[in-house]
Amino acid sequence: MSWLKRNTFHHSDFSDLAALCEAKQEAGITVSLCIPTLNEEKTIGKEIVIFKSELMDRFPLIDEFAVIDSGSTDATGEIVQSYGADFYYSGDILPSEGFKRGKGENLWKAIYQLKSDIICYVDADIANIHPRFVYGLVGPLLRHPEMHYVKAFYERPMAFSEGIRATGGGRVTEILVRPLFSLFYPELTQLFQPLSGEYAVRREVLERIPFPIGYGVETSHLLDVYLQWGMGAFGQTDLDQRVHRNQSTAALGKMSFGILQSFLHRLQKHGKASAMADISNTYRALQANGSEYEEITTEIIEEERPPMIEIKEYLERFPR
Amino acid sequence: MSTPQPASLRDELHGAQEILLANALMLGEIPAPSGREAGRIRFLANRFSESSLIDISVDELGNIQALIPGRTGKRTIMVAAHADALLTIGPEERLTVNVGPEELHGPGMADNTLGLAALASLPDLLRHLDIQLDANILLVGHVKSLRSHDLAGLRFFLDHYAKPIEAGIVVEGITLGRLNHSCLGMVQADITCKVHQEPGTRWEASENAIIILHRIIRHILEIPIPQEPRTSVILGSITAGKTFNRPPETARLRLEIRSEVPGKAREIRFRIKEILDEVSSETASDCSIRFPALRKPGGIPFAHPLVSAARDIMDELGVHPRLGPSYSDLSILIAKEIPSLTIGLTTARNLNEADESVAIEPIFTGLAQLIALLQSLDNGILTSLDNGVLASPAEPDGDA
Repeated sequence: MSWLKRNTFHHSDFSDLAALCEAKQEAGITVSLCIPTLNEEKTIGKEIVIFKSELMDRFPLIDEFAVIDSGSTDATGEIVQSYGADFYYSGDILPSEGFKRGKGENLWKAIYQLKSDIICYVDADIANIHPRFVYGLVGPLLRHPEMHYVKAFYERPMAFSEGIRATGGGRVTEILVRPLFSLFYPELTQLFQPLSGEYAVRREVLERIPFPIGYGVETSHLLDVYLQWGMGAFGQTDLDQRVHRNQSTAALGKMSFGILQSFLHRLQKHGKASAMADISNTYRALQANGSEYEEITTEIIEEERPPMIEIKEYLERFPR
Repeated sequence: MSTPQPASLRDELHGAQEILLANALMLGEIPAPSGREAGRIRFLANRFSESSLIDISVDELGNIQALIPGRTGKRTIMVAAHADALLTIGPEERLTVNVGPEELHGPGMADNTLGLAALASLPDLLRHLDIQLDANILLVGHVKSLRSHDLAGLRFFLDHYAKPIEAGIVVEGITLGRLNHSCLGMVQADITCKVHQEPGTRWEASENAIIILHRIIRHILEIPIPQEPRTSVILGSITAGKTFNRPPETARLRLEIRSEVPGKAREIRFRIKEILDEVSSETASDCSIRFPALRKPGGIPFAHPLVSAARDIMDELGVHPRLGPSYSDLSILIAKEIPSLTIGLTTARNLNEADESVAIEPIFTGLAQLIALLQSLDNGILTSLDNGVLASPAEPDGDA
């Protein structure tokens, strides 16, 4: 059976939560849920209420639930605490390592802060949140011990202020990442949505991979896990639909620039590109301002955190 | 009779807020226009099944019932909420609801996503509070209640439910403090006027349906309407025409007649029918009327032990009861001689708008009221009902 058939699931395969909790208990595995946030007051309350009620109180699939925040200035923290989830400011975790602003930083700090064997990451901006966003990802890890890293994919409408449109999701995936994978890592093209922000991963994998703090975190993870553990370590689950805020084309340009930086660094590291010239960290865009044309430059530096297992405090907290 | 402690129930319910909020959020995202409530009913079926209720079944109209078995199970209290919601959309479209620190937001949240969420949550809330009644609690999520369906689901359920039901509580999302124990006789009338237009003569008054409808309305307003007992004719909606300069061929008027006095709504209904016949004849137009909804007046008296208990509970919770007649779900229970009340759970703003919002904090009072009322029924009221204090349907011939 091909990887695509063997390792691709549908969330409904794991909707018997009582059975899933039993499998979890038998395996003696614990699960943490981490939601990285930055100003997510509009959607965070719903995520916490639903996950806590369905996956902690009703079915004990999640042992620990934390929101790790990059410094929200809206009511995100207040809402999180009012509904009883743990709320951490990323800068307060591992203070000896300093603080860098970026989603990848929060994901990396979560490995230190959270205690469980599996960490499930779910983005905070999902409008149609449902327990499947967690059990669909954790389920394959509980059922298939050989899998280490399970990613979500979607049939994804984009929510606009005017409503919802049915097509147009995954532009960066289709225009940038899929062509790059096709060129350099053809096996990875079997992943429907390599950039999805929802995935569940075993601790022994998370602690051994570096974390770009910005846009490149998901792409880098896939390349690093692929090289160390092979394609068999991956699973992917169809979570049906994900309704979220759409991003402008300009924002996607910056995102692509960050992903490309991480990708090119990995190509070099993996020996797939030699003698690559120094690459610029400046993203350049153009805009017309009245009758003037101008260049907009943005510095995008894809900094990386080292594998957590190299951090002394981590080894003290999780001794070998 | 042991005294329920509504205020302490309210405090304890705060500790289980996620149960209700999660159910409201998940139900709120399942579209449920009247007649297409299957998604919400399926959700309830799963919930009731997870809560190990018994006799869970969906009838041929789509209503769901489930039983929380009582210790003795000698009597049964029905708790009902309608599953359809106004302002919802087609089953393929996406509804998005949300929760902030103080409110739940989303179309249909007040009417009646929240009431249905209370029904879905009740088994878990009772378990959380460690409450088991002697009586069975029959949970009913009924369909096709709104618009022209005229409570068809609840009617069907009660027509076919074979076992006795000793009392009923209808749960609505809004408004906390409502205490409906009687219902008005009600007739909804849908009037259509059609005129015949000959080519080139459409400027004449007799060929303008709006003018014909105006004549009908003028005659309706001349019908003597008594102030006491309370009776009213509400002109609710007019539709006709498409543009500035084209007399419409068709005009439509929808109205509702309400009355506390048996037979009065029917009398007015017949008078309106006569008016239509007269105007049709005078103007050579084709005026027709249909009655999508007819309800009997009736109810339980103010001094009924169920009403007294509800008032006492509200008093203890600091809620000012707003007593008054209802003309919706309650009337169907009353027609079946089941002593019943309608209560509301919270307050709302932007009602029937896309950003409809309900306040979270009052919900705990609303739920405490519901559970305390169930306890009161179980602790003695049901026994007094055995002695013959029943609801009083008033109309002998089954007409409003």
